[in-house]
Amino acid sequence: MLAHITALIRKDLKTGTRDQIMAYMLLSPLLLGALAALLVPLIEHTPLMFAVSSDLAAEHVDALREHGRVERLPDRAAVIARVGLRDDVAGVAASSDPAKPEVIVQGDEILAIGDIAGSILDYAAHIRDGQPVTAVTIESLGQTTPSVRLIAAALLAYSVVVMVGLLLGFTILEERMTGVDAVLAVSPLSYLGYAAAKLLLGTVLSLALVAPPLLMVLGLDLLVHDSVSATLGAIADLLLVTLACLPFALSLGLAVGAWAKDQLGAITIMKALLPVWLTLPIAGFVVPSAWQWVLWPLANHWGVQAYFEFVQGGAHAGATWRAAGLALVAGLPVLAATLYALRQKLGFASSSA
Amino acid sequence: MRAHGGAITNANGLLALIALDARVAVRHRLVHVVVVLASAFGLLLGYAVPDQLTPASRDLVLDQTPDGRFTALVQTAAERSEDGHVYDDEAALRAALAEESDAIGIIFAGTPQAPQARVIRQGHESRDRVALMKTLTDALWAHQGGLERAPSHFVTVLTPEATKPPLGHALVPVLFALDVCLLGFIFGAVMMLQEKHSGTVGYFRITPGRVGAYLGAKLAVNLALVALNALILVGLAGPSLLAAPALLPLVLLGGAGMTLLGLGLAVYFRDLSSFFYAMAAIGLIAAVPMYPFFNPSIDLGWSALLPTHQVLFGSYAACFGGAPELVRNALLALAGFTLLSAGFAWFAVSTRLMKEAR
Repeated sequence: MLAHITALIRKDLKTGTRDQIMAYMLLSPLLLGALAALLVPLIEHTPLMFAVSSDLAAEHVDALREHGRVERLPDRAAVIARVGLRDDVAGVAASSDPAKPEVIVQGDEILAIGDIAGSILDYAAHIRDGQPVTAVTIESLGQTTPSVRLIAAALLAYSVVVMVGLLLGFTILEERMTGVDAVLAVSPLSYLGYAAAKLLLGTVLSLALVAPPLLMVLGLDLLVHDSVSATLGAIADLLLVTLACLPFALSLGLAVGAWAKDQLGAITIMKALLPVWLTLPIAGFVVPSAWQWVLWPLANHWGVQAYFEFVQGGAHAGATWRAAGLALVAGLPVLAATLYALRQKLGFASSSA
Repeated sequence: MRAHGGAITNANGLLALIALDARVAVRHRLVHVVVVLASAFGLLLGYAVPDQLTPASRDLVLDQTPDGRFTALVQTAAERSEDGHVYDDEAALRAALAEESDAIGIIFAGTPQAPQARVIRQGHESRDRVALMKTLTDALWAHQGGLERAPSHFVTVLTPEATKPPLGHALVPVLFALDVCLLGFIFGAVMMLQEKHSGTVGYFRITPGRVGAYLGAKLAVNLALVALNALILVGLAGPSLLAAPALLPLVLLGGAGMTLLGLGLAVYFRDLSSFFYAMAAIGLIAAVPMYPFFNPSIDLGWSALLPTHQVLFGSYAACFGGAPELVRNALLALAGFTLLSAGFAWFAVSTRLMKEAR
């Protein structure tokens, strides 16, 4: 049995190398990680935008620049044109009274950007004039990672496992399209061995591929700690969370393998189901808590939540294991159903009957 | 007479191929998937997406002034929060801050003669955000605490009655560019990859069919899917947008160009797994116009060369009263792109695919 399983895994690896699947599998998580590492900072540090006319006094420009990004434009007309674009930008232009600039807004801004620009100009003027302002002290809690980055990392980690599942699906599809499935169905390999080989390969690849993109987005501190035992503990935690996510995440690929008759069928299933597998978990971060129960039956919701709690660190350990446990419990029936369907479609059922 | 007869044969051949490709699309449930996904996205945009997105960060406010000047502000902050909690001691506020990684705490203290405040931030905020916290806390003290201050600016509102289109409507052009236009690119390419694998292309070579009919059939079927997708999406998300006459021509031209591009590119790939790289790369490049769309001050002039840019900005202008020149230029640019893609697809199919089949 073990020899059959390892032979099938070797076959999948060889096929994968020949068909570029392996390169795709190894590169995609890294590319996704690099992309997320580039894009997330753009989202988390979106500055306020001020469009100013070139004749605006330097003191006003400096005050605005301290609070956001300043776009200098030739004159008031250009500022008005810029304010009219579809984003929320406050325009500031010089007026006949140099000490009292004009703040220009469209009128449909979601954020009270005009009030903010006005407050900045007022505050700077009060300080310049020596008038009293509020004595504000600022204290930091020392949190260095914004939640948008943690959410992106959690979604990324789950996506990697789903992608590994899809690649398993492609190997099954390849077997069907080349007639290998018919040979396997009458070989000494049992369906149990076949499924074990696919799941083992998926598990090993998922465990190996999930960490690099996470480290690219969140940095080495996620896994590397002061002591060896703490580092090993963090790695073990990540592997356990990934194991808990596997049943549901891999099911998509197995569904492709079970139901897709050809490449067009595969792309149809992916187009239909990828939003369910990868987009629905986003709802866990935006749906109000009163409606979160709608997401409770979804294994992918719990899987992404488990990664999210894990990347927040040790203080969230209890929540991590609760979410991971629920991801496992909710995912196992889906995996079992998909494996059953795969057995029927591959012909193992009729040959063993 | 012979030319006329040839035209009829060509037309019949094209119709037969369209029927074949349409059957493939139906048999592989492409139509079902398009209908289900377009309905899901349409319902989401029409009924689930809020009218506008407000900034996500939350201020937790505590009033420690001797005369309780900020009671109203504390109440407003509590009403805006999900739990409606009013913080009356610092320990509770700190505990809540530890749970909400985007929230900041503001503790007002002092008197109008000596206003004071403490801001407790998470630590990941940028330098300009920290400066803003200081400035706006002072503004809050002045406004809510009843300080008399003369403003050092004046405000001009260009269009007081202006309103932003509802978010669900504003996202329709985004979905057109990101999803609907790429539909034909993916389905068309995979249809061809499938035929290469099954050897159907070899049969095509020995039929009287022409390259034009081969490409035209796939283009027609995929354009029908694009039109179906667009109509369901807009019909559910915002039927009033269908009144914009340029909307459908824009998305159909974009879809046609992208379908032909996919067909041309697929000629050079062996199967779906190798085509994945091209699919991912084109998908990422096609998504670039999202950035200047959501942040117009970013100078990405080159993105105007992308068909998805023209679909996105053209259909936004068509739907929400943008400049007519913008719509006309987008239509012209997309027509040019479709012609270029058609030339490329024709070249690839006639010089490579049909030769490979021999």
